[in-house]
Amino acid sequence: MRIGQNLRRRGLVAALAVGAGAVVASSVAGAAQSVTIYAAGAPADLKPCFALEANQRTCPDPATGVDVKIKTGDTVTWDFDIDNGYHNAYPAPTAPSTPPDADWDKRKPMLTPNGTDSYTFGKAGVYKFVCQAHPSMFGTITVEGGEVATPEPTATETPTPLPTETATPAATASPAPTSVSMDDHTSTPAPARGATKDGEAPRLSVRSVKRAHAGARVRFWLSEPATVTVSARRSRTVVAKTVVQAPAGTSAFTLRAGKLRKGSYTVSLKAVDAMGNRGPQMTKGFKVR
Amino acid sequence: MSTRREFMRNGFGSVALLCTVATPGTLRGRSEVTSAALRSQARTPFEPFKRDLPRIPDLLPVSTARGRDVYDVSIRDGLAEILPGFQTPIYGYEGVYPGPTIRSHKGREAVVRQRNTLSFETNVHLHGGYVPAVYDGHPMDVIAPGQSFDYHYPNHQDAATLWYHDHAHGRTSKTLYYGLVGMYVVHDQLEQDLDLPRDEYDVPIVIADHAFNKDGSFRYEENVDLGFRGDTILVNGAVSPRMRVQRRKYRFRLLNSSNARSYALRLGNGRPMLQIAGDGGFLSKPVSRTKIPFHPAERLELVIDFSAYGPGEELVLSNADGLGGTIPIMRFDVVGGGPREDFKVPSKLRQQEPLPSPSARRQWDLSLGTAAWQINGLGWDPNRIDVRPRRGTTEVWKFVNHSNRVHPMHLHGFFFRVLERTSAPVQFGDRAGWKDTVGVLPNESVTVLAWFAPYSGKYVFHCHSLEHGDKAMMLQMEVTP
Repeated sequence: MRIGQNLRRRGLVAALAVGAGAVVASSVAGAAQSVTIYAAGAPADLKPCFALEANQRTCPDPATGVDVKIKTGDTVTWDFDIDNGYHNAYPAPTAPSTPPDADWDKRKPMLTPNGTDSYTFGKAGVYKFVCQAHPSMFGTITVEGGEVATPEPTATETPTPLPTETATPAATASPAPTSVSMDDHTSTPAPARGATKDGEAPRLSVRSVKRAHAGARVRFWLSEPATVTVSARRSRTVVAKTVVQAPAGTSAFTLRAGKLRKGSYTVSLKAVDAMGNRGPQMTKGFKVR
Repeated sequence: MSTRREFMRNGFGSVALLCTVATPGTLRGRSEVTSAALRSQARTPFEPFKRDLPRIPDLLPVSTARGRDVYDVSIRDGLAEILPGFQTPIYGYEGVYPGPTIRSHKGREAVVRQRNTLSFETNVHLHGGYVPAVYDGHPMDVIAPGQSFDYHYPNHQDAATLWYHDHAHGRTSKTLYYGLVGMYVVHDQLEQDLDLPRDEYDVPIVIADHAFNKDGSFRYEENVDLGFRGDTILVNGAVSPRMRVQRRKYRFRLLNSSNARSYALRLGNGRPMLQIAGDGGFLSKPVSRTKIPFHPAERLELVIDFSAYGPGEELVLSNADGLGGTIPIMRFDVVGGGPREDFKVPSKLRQQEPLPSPSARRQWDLSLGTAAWQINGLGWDPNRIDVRPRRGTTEVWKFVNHSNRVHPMHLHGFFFRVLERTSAPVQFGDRAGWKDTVGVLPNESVTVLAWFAPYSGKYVFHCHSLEHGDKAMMLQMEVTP
C-alpha cells in the first residue's frame, strides 16, 4: 500500500480504518505533509475513479469519490500513471472552494494520460475536484489550520507542451449569436418515463384507394400522428409493402408496386402510435382491369 | 424493506439487462428463481438476431402544393419498445426512434417545420446537406421550448443519404443518444436511371451503440475522453436484429449515429460488399470491399447480392473491432425464391466534378488542452470566426491528430475529398466521392480538399465524437461571398 508512507510512520492507520475512503494527514506543527491520490480503474473503463491506493483496477459503482483531510501547508499530488485514459483534477465547476480561494478556483489543469499534478493548500476550507473527462472521478479535500504561505501555485503545474500551434487565421470578433436565452446548455435531462402516457390507439379510416402510375394512390385519415404499415395483396401474394410516418388528419401517398397485373387487390393499413398503441387493421379493395 | 425476493428479482434483472454476454443458461438450475426472473430469462433481451429489422417509416408531407413538400415534425418525448417487455423513454422526431426518413428530390424544395415540445432548446442540422447558413442548424441558432422553426432545404444536390439531428450547443452527446436522429434521403433522376435496387429493396440502416438501466431506460455515462461507449448495438432501434432477404440484390443505406464508436464492418467471414456511395452520394464507380471502417456520422451505401447464397444461409454483418455485445450488428437470413432480378449495378455511376485548384492550405491540430478538446489550441467560441474561406474556392485542409483518440472531423454545409492519410493509402471508397466526415485516427494526419460552395455564411466544423464536439472541439468558419 502506497498511501503516503509518512502517514503510517506517524501511526495514523487507525484514523484510516475509521473513515473508509478517507485519509487524514496529521502533522507535527510546521512539518508539511504530502498526500497522493491515484487515478484508478480498468483500461477503457467507462467509470474510472480516484483512489487512495495505487494501481486499483476496480471502482465502486456508483462512484463514491475520495475524501482527504489535511492541514494547511500540506500538498496533494494526483498521480495519473494508469493506462485508462486522460484525466485531470479540475476544481469542481459546480462547487467552488469554501471559503473561496481564488488560487484554487482559477486552476485549469490539462487532461493528461500520465504524470502527476500537485497543489499545496495554504488556506483552510473545503475543496472539491473532478476529472473533466470523467464525472465519476471526483473527491473532496478538507483543509484545516491557520493560513500559511504556499509556493506560487502555478509553479506546481507542469503542463504538457501543446503541439506547435499554427496561427489561426482571421480571429476577429463576429456579431453576437442570434439567440440569447436562459438555457445555458450545461445540463440536459434524460427523457422522462410516462411524461406523456397515452393508452389510446390511433384511429384510422381508409378514404380511397385508386390505381396510380406504378402502384396505388392511398388516401386515409388518422386521429393522431402514427406509423402506418401499408401493404397491397393480390389474392395471397403481397405485391407491395411500406411503412410511413403520417401526421394527424388526411394524408395521401402512392404505394409503389411497379406495373400491376389485372385482378383484384386488397390494401391493408395498420397504425401504431409512438407509445406502441396499435389500432385495428383497415382494408379496402381496388381492381385493375 | 428490501426483501430477499426483491433482491433476487433486481439482481436477475440487472444481470439480464446489463451483461450483454451473459447467457441465460447460466441462470438456470437455481432453486429460488422468481417468475419475473424467469420471464426476463425467457425473453433474453440482449441475445442477437431475435427481432426482425424494424423498417424506419418514411415521413409523409402535409402538403405537396406549389412545387414543394412541406413536413411538420414535433420534437417530443416518446416511448420505444427496444427490449421486449420494457419501454424505453426517448426523445424523438415525431416521438419515434430513429426518426422518420424524409425523402426529397433534387431541385424540389422541402420545408420542414420543427416544433420543439421539449423542456430545453434544440435545433436541427441537416448533416451533409447543401443548406443556406440560416437553415443549417448552427449551434447558436436554436428553437426555444414551445417554439417552432421552418427549415427550408433547397435540395440542389445530387442523390445522397443525409441525416438530420439535434445540434444545440453543448448537448448533442445526450440528445442524439436519447434519440434525436433521422435519415434524410435525396433522390435524383440519375439515380433512377441507374436501375439500382429500390423501394422495399432499398433499406435504411441506422447503427448506434447503447447501454441500458435495469428498468429498460437508456443508460448514459459521460466520458469526454473516450466518448460514450455502449455495450449493445441497436440497428433501427432493435438489438442486433435479423432480416429476411430474398436471393437478389439489396441496397443498404448505412448511417453510424453512434456517439463515439467506430466500427469495422465485415460480412460473414469476409464476403464482398459492393460500396456504391459515401457521405455525399455516388462514387465514380462501385468498389468491392470486405472490411470497411465506419466512423461516427459517416454514411455508406452498399449493394449486397444475396443470389450468391443459398436458401437457409445466414450472413452476419459484424463489427470486427467490437467486444461481446458490440460484435454482432445484424444478420441476413436468405430465404427461398428464384432469382428474379430487376436491378443491376452499372460499372460506372457518375462523373466527378472538376474542381478549381486550391487557394489556401491550412493545418488543424487536434489535441487536448485546458478546455478539454481543442483545435489549434482553441475551443468553441461563438463570438470568434476562426477561418474565412471564399465561396466557390477550394482549400487543402490537413487535420493532424496529436491524441490517442479517433476524431471524425465534420464540415457543415460543404463536402470534401480525401487526398491523403498518413496511416495508409486512402481507400477508393473514400476518395472517389464526396465526404463530409472523415475519421482521423490516433496520431494520424488526414489531408482533404474542401469545396466551399454553394452558399456563404457562418458554419461550423467540428469533431463528431459527440462528447468531443460538445467540449469544445468545434470552430467557426465564415464563408465570404
